[in-house]
Amino acid sequence: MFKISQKFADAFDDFWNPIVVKEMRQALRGRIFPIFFLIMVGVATVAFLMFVAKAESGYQSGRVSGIGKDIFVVLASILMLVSMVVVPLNGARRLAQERAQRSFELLQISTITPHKIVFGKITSCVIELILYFSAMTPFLVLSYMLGGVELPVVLFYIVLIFWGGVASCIIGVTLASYSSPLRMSQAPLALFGGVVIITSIGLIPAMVYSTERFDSSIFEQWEFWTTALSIAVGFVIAGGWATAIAKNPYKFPGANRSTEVRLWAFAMLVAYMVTACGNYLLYARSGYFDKMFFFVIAMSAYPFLFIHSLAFVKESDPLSQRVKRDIRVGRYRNLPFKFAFLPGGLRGFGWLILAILLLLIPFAGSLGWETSRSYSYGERTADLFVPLAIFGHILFWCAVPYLFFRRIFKIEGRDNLLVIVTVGWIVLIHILLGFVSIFTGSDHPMYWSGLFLYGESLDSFYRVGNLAGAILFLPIMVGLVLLAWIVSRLFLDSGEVRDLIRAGRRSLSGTTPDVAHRRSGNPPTE
Amino acid sequence: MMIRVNNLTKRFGNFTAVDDVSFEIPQGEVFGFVGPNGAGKTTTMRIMATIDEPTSGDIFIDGYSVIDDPEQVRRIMGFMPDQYETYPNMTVWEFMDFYARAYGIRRRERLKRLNAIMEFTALDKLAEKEVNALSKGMRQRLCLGKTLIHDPKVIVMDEPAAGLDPRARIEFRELVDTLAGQGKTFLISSHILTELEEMVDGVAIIEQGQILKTGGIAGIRQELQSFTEIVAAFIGDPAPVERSLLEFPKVERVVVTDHTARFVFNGDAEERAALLKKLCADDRIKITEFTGKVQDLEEIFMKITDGKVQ
Repeated sequence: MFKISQKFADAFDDFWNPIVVKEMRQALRGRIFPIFFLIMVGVATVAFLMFVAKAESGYQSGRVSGIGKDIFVVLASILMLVSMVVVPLNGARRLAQERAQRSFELLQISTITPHKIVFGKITSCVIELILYFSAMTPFLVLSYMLGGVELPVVLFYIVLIFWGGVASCIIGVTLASYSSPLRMSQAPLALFGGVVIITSIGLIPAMVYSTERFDSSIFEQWEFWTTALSIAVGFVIAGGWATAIAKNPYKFPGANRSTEVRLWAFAMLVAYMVTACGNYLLYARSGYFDKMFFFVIAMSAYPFLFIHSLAFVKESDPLSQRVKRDIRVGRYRNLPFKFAFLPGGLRGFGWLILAILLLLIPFAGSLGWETSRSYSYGERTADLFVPLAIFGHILFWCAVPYLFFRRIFKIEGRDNLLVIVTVGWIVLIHILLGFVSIFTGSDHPMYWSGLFLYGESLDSFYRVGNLAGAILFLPIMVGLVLLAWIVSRLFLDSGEVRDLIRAGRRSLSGTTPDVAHRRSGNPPTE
Repeated sequence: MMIRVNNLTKRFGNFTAVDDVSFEIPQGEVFGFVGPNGAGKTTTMRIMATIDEPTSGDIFIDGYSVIDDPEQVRRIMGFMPDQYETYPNMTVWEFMDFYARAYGIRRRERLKRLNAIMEFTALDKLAEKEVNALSKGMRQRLCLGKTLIHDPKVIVMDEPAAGLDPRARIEFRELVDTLAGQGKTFLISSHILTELEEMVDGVAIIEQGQILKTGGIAGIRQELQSFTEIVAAFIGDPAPVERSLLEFPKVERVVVTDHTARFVFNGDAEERAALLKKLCADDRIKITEFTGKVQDLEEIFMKITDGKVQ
């Protein structure tokens, strides 16, 4: 009996990720966690008592009429703040601090895998989240008991906030892995936290209070579940992808691993999530769910495309060779990413991406236009999300082609610059037209932005099943890209720019690292 | 060879920190890595420890490449950096336990090793103390303990004695001696050359990213020592001593006092023996001592590095 329990104790102890054990020990000994825990419980208690005291006169038949809804909104907002800002920021701070103080290097040279480091960090954040949530559970239950909010709504928001918290922690850990200086790694995280707060500040009150449209009956609509599933899938993929970024260099804490391409893709991912959440809010408020199914597909397509576009471009990155080697020897266990890096599969993989793009871009393209439709409902919140939707569009239409063409045509030097300038043109066109349409007070803010063109095609596709109409947008976008390319080429061929490029090329020559055996994947010769 | 550095180069932009460095260290040897600040010692060691990647070249630890088999290298290598920050809110025991877990050591084995290492590094009495409250010497012991926790074959130490008081240095040297006696291979960089000399079997001298000299200390000394300062003690009249010395062709700078003669001798060992024989053969000269002063590591270092690259 003793031996069995001893064996169980050994197995239980060995089960835990070392990072989780360390983080938990530090959190319990440190000050930040207990302080925030007490503040959160204190604020929740005060808010709860204040609402109850205020509503005392409305006490009716054993239930305080309706105040549960108010209390729930306050509690959920506090919980959201803690789980989507405080915990991720603290997790990112700890990681960034370790890197800045070089204690991470000691960990890096142990036999612990980057996989374990990343997931250990994230898991410890999740455990912290669970502790915060458990502290709030009694208050949330009480808010339900006081009436005014339905149990499915309470449960849904608990899951939603928790999910958002996990995603934020993943993003926080990822961002902290980008830069060694503490402030630099926290700046993008703070920016992200700010975006999350701004975009979600009206989410809970808007959804809870608009009970005509968002009561528990909404759970009976299949569009709701597909939308929720889409967002969940988005977060999961985003998390996986973000982890892959951290894992990708395979020298996770090493410096200079955050390339321009990765940051581009990461920005796209964040834009996706924000846009998806924003669109979801608009739909929920308007009760306009009839096209949701296509919309859901569009949203799910975004992170999928981003992952694979990135993987595609990574071929040019010598570090990807290391991942390839690890796949060969069976160290890389994550199957989706394994697929992306299968040796020799590059050409086929390129075609696959092309096929995915052709199939899914029409749906993805509907994002901004659908947002604009919601705008016409005159909702104030829509104003907030239209620029975000434009932002998402710009990133999608500009960054993905950049990543795509860069590899296909082996773009280097001058041509690379050409692509960047082209992308710059497209961004500029989108921004200018988007703002012009907004400021001219058009009923359809994206009418003149070019997005309308394929949006309209999609509309006809959805309504009358006109597949040809949906495909029409492709030549339009290709035309736009070609036009920008031609203009860029003319610009780059001007004498001054040409000289600049030549000078740049001269300064770059001879700096390529000699890591031939790593790039070729051949064993080194001793 | 336990460590083999092959044409290692590391560039940071236009700056070449390590330039085509090659050297080898046999198993069980304590090897010194000597050079002025910014010579490329730490960069080489960081590449060896798989923290950084080389621009070109490679390092093989027990046959494993730091580029292609970093995981294997980490299993057999312990690295002690020149400076490190401990984790806040953590005790000595927890710190060591964390690294033991990070090396994947299972619970029972982990507890055994932790006890052994804590005892070896004399940290057992400080097990419950917070790591941030440790003195510099104790922190170095802690880092050594962390380095040894997975029982590595190769131990790389970057300036391990820097900032330690004399007692802590001696204790630290004793720990290294004990480990060296167990057959572990060491690469130690240090600025305190006299101390390093007492520990190391061989040495590599690096300056501005280039290896200037490598090999056993005795070999280098012999190679570099083109002349020897000799001190001869005698009794009796100093005049015949001075005359005999000046008559010998390779003797220079003779300074004779009452009972001592100091001079520089440019000959080899055979000629040195011939000189001694000549002095002893003279009835008027009674030699009591005949000693050649040997260059220490510091002198060798100064001689090699002075003005050669810089």
